Amino acid sequence: MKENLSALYDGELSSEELEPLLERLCSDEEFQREWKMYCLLRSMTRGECTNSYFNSVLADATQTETDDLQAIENKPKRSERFFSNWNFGFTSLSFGQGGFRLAASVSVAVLVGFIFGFSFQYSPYDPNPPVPFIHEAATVGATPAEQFETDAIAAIDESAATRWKFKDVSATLDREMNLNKLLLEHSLFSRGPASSRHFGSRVMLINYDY
Amino acid sequence: MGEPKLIPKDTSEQLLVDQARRGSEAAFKILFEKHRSALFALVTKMSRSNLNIRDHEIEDVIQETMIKAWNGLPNFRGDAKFSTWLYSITRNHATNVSMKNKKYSSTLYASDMKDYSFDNLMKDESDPLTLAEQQECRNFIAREVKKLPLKLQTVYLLRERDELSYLEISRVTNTRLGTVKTQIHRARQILIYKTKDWYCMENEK
Repeated sequence: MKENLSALYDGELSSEELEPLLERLCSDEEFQREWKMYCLLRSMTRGECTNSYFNSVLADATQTETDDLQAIENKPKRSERFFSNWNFGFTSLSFGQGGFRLAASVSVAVLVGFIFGFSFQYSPYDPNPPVPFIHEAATVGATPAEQFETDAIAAIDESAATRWKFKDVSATLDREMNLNKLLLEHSLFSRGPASSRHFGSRVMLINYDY
Repeated sequence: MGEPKLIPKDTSEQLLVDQARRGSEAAFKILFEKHRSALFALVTKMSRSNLNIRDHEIEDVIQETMIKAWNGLPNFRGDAKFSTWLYSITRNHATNVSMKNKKYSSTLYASDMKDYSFDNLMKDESDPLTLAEQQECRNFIAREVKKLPLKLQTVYLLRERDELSYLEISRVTNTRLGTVKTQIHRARQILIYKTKDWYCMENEK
């Protein structure tokens, strides 16, 4: 299209192309800027260009380019647009539809949290892995003590073996297994009232002991 | 395949004039832009021939001329060329501005007033500063044109310096008409880029 604009500037456009291009030129600012530059080039080539004209055209052209760049920089990023468009249901907290939105938002948040938590906890590249969640789960419930211990140790071994199979982290693994055994011994030793084990978590057991 | 039917050179200008007279501001601006460089040259020469217009006022004079021309467009009957009509408005306006400035200046005497007809001004080569400015721009473009690939260089100079039509260029260079059109456009794109670059570098200094 700009090729035709250049031809129009030279008065060398075929008659059928002329009118639509003139219309476009009248309405399109980019075409108008290009037109100005053609005028400047011709004036420079023919030795008619004075400093005031040169500066007037180029100050305008470069300012527009700077403004365009600024506009691109100020445009919200894709992620920002995503969040601003969706709002995650928090814009309306009324009952009915709003309540549904809130519920959906909470579900999304929980799901995202679970996924991120899971991936964080089970990252094979974590140099100081936290005590695995499965250990806590193993202490839950009214399982008989011996069975509980066997199952839990098996679970620990399996879990650790799976998680660290890509990496030589034997020292860390040993440290982790020792810690978990201590925890299990601790939980078996501290078997108290059934109520505490029903809600059994490591935190509750530790609180019960102390 | 036959060559496309070309329209006479001034048809696009005439169409723009018609649109502008019907009230299209954009058409008028496009038209004005085509002659702006010559108007700048005219006012610059006038200002440096002892006319009381300072360099920083030149752009204002051009802007005001544009407004005057737009307002006076219904009176343009089309007997003369549009460019001639514009030059006469510019010359009259520049003289008026100079007369107003004279009230605040005692340096301008009647004997200083020259003949400010367009032809005389354009022939006047006594202003070394304007000549130097024009020469600087011309030298820059000449340098950049020389750096273009040979084919682009040839068609660009045939068009802009020698003012040959596309058809004549295609015959001289033994190239198809469409190729000439593309090559001229390409040369312009490169030169526009180089000119903007030069302007930015000069401003950074």
